Amino acid sequence: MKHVKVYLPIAVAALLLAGVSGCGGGATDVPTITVKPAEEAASPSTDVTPTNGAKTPGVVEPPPTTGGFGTFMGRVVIKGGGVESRPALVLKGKAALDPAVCAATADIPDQSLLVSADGGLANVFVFLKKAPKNGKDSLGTEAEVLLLDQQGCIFEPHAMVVRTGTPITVKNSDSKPHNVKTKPALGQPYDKSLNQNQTGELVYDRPEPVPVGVECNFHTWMRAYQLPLDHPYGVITKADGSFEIPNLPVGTHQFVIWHERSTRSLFSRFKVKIKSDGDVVKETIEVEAAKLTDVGGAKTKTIKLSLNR
Amino acid sequence: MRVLQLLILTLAFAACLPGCDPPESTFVYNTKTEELTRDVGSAVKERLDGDFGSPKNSVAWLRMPVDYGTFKGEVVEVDEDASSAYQFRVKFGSNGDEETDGEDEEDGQASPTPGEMNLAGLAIIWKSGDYAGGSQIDGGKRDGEKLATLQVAAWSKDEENGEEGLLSLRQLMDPPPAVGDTFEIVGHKLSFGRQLYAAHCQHCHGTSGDGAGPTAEYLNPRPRDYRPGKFKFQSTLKTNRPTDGDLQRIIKKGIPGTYMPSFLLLEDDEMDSIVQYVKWLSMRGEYEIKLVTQLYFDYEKVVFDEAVESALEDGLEEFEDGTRDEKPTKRSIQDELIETANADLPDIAEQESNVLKDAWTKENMTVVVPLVARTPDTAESRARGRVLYVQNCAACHGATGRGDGEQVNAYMVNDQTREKYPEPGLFDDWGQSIKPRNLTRGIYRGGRRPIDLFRRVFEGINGTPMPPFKGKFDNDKKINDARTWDLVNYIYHIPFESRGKSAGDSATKHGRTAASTPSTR
Repeated sequence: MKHVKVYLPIAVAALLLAGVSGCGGGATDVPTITVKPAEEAASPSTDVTPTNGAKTPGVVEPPPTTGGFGTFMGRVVIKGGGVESRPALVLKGKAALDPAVCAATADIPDQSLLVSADGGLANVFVFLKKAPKNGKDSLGTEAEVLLLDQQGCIFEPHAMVVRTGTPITVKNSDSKPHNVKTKPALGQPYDKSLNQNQTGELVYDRPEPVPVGVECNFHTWMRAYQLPLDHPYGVITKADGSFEIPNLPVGTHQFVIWHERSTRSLFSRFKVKIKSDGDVVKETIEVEAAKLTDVGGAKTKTIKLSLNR
Repeated sequence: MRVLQLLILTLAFAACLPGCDPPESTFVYNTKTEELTRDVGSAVKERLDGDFGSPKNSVAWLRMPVDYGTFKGEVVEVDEDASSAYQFRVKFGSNGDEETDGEDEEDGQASPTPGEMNLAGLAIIWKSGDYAGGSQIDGGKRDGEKLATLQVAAWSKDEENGEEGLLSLRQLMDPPPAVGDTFEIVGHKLSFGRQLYAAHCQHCHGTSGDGAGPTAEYLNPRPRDYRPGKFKFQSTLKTNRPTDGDLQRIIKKGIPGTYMPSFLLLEDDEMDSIVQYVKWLSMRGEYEIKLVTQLYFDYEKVVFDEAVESALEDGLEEFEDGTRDEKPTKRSIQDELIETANADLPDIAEQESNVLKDAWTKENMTVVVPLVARTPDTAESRARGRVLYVQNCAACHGATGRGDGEQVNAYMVNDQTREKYPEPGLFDDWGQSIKPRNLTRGIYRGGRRPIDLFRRVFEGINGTPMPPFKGKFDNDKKINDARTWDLVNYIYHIPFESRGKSAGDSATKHGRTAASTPSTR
């Protein structure tokens, strides 16, 4: 017992010393460098386009195309009918900024959930992620005039599908300054401030996997969605929830169905089979109302009291 | 009893041992990478590690426009009798490879030499001789790619003999290189940059450059997260990346009004190495974000599980129809989908790395240069600037410049989640609360030179709600720039304005010098 009493402090001291000498020095480690050549010699593909010709996820083996084209049409509706319409974003005359221009004569409506009387859901994006093989480029993009207007502190139109490389004219029709700002996930962002009647040109350089939010930093409630694609197979639903996508080559296609009020796509792989030339696939796509409230839904309000304001 | 105590001591000692290892530095992955279904997520990580490595084993990917640092040299003496060699005598300097025509020699200087520098761990790649192109180097292959895996172990320069000395390698060269073979030692800036970054930057900006070092949570504003490739204070267009000079200026001068200090005491070569390392970190981070973005909407865990379910249903139908030979199982469907992702990944990586390369290439950047010289700082100019200020800036920065405009009470929408932020006020792209600058203090984060203020107004501030006002003040570019200078003149004057009076009043009555007492607040 006596021996232990003597040894213990010595052992502890030795331990502490060992700890001091053994630790530290991690931050000054000299890294080892390996060189990776700029071009991968082993990779035969120099094709920059991603996933070109790659199999679409989930397709087992598409039936051979016979060269015909069909149409996918239908409606997107709320399952079980009515959803309460959203309260106005800004009440008439109550705008925090520029009340003389914004919501001066009427409320600014919340366009994030537009449901028709019979349950049709507007502004739903229905699109293919990648152009199908044997597709038909049906749109005369040159003739198209795309305009994103800002009037009464509302973006018009609220939703838009656009081809990459096609310019959208952005315009400010208000007497107060606006800016148009996009933050695409993949492509170049855009940001331009505009005085009354000034215009700018917004061009998307790359297709995006989901629609891009457009905002105005002056008026934070302003919002629009734009989806750039490098093929014509993308539309938004009309006010009654209807849509039509023509010129789909015969085969199986997987559509993305996306709405701004859902964090994830409503359907990430909605399967449509075009069996023969002239085939028309009609679908009524039902969406649960619960799926559309998970964004910006009822949340506990935090009220901050401050003497500095 | 004694045995027990000895046992406890032994155990305590053993417990202490792992604690004494220096903590391993690792790069963390993006949260979205972790949200991918497991197999796809690890494929992304594997690619990222192959292309950029880790803090301790870094990869100098020559595709990326980073100056990793290169020393050119030539073998001058090899032991003739030996059939293999770890070490040989070399000479550094401009002789050896004339074919480069000085394209790598910047600023008209001769090719740099290492001097007494520690070259341990740096890569050596052979430019001539049998080893050129790494053709005889075995091992270190990933998917058939050849990596130059030879590393320097030590370099000892002769004391009297100029740039000659003995170079030792970590790996054996069998057969040894021939006299006259030329080589490049690559990566001293990356290595030096990493060591300096660890010493000076990492505790705030994090090992991965994610702005989440151990100190970060105590700071407001938060340290910058380099991974999205967005830098606030740059001389270039908002959509461009910053130049090396922009990054250097921020490191040298610091960011006034924040915790970013000035590192003016760093030597030029230290500064250069840090800048290259930060660029490299940013490229790694953005590369990861872009790879994941391309896969996220198909292979996020929840989406993927749903896809497997529906594909399985379809597969079973097809099996019953006879269009499918084998009866699919959940596992086989999963494998099919993951195989598709793995087939797509190389092309996605190729595309995104080229986009990154172009974005960081100096030739693709446009530096903002005003078309007209600064308007003289007169009362009239300030008064014109005040008018522009009220129209364009007051909404955020407030009528008196205190950063208390109406926007401070507005609710912004989080672009990632498309949800309203729970608190009013402005938020930046990193989701952090941000306040419009209080202009009455005369502290300007992006620098206080007139050109700095001009650029902030002209191009806005990247990643923040501060928009660019380029071309907004007039459709004529020159007039627009002159108006911008008026606004800059007025902004300089704000700290000296008497409260409650308009700019015109105070400017004419007191003038700038007379009213130069800092505002009383």
